Amino acid sequence: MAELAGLPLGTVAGAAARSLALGTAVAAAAGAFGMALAWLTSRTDLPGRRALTGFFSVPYALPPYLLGMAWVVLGNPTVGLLKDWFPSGGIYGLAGMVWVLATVAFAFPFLELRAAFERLDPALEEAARMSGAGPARVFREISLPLLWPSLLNGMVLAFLFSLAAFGVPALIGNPARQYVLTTLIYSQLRVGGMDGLNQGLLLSLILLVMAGAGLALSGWLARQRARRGGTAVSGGKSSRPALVLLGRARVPAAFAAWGFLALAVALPWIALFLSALAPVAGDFRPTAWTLRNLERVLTMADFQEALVNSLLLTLGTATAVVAAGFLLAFLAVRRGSRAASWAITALGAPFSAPGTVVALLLLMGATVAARAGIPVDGPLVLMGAAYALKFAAGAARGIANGFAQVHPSLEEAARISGARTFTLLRTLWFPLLKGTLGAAWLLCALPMLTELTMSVLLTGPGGATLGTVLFQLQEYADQPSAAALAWMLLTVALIVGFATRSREKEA
Amino acid sequence: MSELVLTGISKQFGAVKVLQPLSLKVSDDSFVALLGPSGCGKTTLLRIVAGLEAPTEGELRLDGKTLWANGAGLPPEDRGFGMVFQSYAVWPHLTAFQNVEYPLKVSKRLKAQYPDAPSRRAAVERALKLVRLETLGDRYPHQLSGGQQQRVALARGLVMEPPVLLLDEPLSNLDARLRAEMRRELRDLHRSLGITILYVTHDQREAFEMSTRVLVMEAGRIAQDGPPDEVRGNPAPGFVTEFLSEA
Ligand SMILES: Nc1ncnc2c1ncn2[C@@H]1O[C@H](COP(=O)(O)OP(=O)(O)OP(=O)(O)O)[C@@H](O)[C@H]1O
Ligand SMILES: [Mg+2]
Repeated sequence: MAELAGLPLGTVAGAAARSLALGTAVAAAAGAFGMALAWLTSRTDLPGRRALTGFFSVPYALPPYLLGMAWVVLGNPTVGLLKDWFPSGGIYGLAGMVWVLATVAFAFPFLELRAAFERLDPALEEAARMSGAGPARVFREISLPLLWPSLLNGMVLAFLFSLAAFGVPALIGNPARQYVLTTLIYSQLRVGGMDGLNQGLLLSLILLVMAGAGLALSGWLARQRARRGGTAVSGGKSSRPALVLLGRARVPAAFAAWGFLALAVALPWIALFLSALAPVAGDFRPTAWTLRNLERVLTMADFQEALVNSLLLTLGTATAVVAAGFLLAFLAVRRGSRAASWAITALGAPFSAPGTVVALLLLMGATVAARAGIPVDGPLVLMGAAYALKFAAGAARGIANGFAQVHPSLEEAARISGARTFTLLRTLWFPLLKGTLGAAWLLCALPMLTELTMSVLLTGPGGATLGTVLFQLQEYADQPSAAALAWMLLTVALIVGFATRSREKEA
Repeated sequence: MSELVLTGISKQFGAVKVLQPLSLKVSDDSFVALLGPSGCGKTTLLRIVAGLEAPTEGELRLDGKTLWANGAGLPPEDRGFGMVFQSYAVWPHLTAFQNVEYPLKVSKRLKAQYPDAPSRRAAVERALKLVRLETLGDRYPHQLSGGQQQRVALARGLVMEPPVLLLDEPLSNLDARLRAEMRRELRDLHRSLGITILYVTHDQREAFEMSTRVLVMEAGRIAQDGPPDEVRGNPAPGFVTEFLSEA
């Protein structure tokens, strides 16, 4: 049989094809959900559309593998809470992976499109209605072509997100022996040795090429579009949109939108909650409820180590990333530094590259360094580096936007008053951008706290994190403890998600 | 002969009453200017006539056909009115020609009247000629100047041969020279085509130069209603006199 670096070619091709299928299917589903929900909440009289808009940004803050665990609780073919509602294989398999990832990834197109609807002059749509087109036709022939670039952007983000996903494919694909590139890389590395690392590197190259191809394709599509007439979204003064009256469709539409929210967020939470209280996996009787699982997790040495590690890593790395981003953005935006702009651009590479690839490159770097006599001490250092690389670009871009939005005269006035660079940063920019910096910090810290994809590859003795402990519990089939931990983490993530949602609205 | 009749139309946003109940008859061929300061409710009134906004109370009829009554009515796409927006609202993904052709392809009434591409082409070319854009049909909006985009918007309204053409400050984004030119053109178009026009503006010059009837609005009610010469020569004491003396 043909081989690739010691791996059967069929295995490699199968995983690559599945990764591509997963990315494409999730992008398509996310695009459809995201578009439907964005239109309903921005242009119709859907009941509760304000509240829904806030809620729909929440799944964004939820670690997808927690939802994956919840869906296993619901859809496990033998002991699942709702197993009768699923096809015979339960949640396991490609369709299950697509569904779970789509319940998170729809937020990418949704948020892009919400912003685009806000920018789109409603008169463009109203003019079409005055021309005699009904709401459906206006959507198809006016809104959709004009919002296409935003939709495409959101779908590419969903594609990259699914391509890079590790937790959900491991939880939902592996039991059905449906491996994708990230899970195959993980299993090759677990075999260990240089062989495993080499195979991992080869596979991650394929992953990287796919991600690059996705980006390139969307860039090309966007340029094609731009060539055929303008995509200018808004020129004139925009007015308040005339809401499309849903009429008889109002109740079913509300049911669908709120139902989607319930399926994407509430149902998984309930599933983990019930499972956390169950004495053994699959026993959901209220009379048998127990707090033993929660107690066991909280007193577990691994968990305590992981909690300390994750908190330290998150606090340290997020703070360092935001501080560095603040300086880089200042130099790039306010001092016109080429080097700083270039650094921010370069950080975009690990930001868009799958986490698995970033972790593997770091592992390889550490191996090379060790051979050259520079030992890289401990998994925490590697994980800190990985988190910083992965999330720095997002923070730096957000902060750079903050700098760009402040009128230069503010800084000029301070300089005329005699303030030098450091004083300027401390007395002017830091207070001015406090909100932006806080938001950037949260945007880094949230995913770091529960990071799994990179941590699981970089962890080692003394290097447990919340993500890796949870993954281990699940892998070693301590389902009740895993559910208890997952439920706690999901609850925290939900609280933070809801809290940041209302912050956004005030701003 | 088409006649637009508003009976007791009012509008409330939450607790704020932005239109007091007002009744109005607009008869065929008139060019009615709705003139008033910012925030007095001109746009709201126009959008209620268009069907883009629902009145809180009142009825709306066109030639005895009910457009709105008892809290329900025809959606904007079934009213057949033409409308020109302040922000032009020319679709950036369609050429000038396609912009003007769009109503002929989608409106139920016009689809029957222009069943095929050649008949549509003729109508679109006629409309483009009216606004003197006959050579620029193939251009996309971003290849047109602001004034030209505004004319595309106007041609898109005219091509429908609507019973009523609604215009909301269509000239406010243009420079002074172009504005003067468009004022002349609109007046000539009105005279030659004989359509009913409802024209919202806060610019007295536009109102008095083009219209056959001026409605001065103040805080959601009509302060004076009459031919331009009468309103200008004999303004109602109080608000109207003050407002007209400001410019
Ligand atoms: N959707 C809305 N919600 C609340 N208030 C509104 C809404 N739309 C309009 N208003 C208020 O109704 C009043 C009338 O608005 P309208 O747009 O009709 O004024 P206008 O006469 O067209 O003013 P302008 O010359 O500035 O365009 C204003 O005070 C406005 O603030
Ligand atoms: Mg107005």
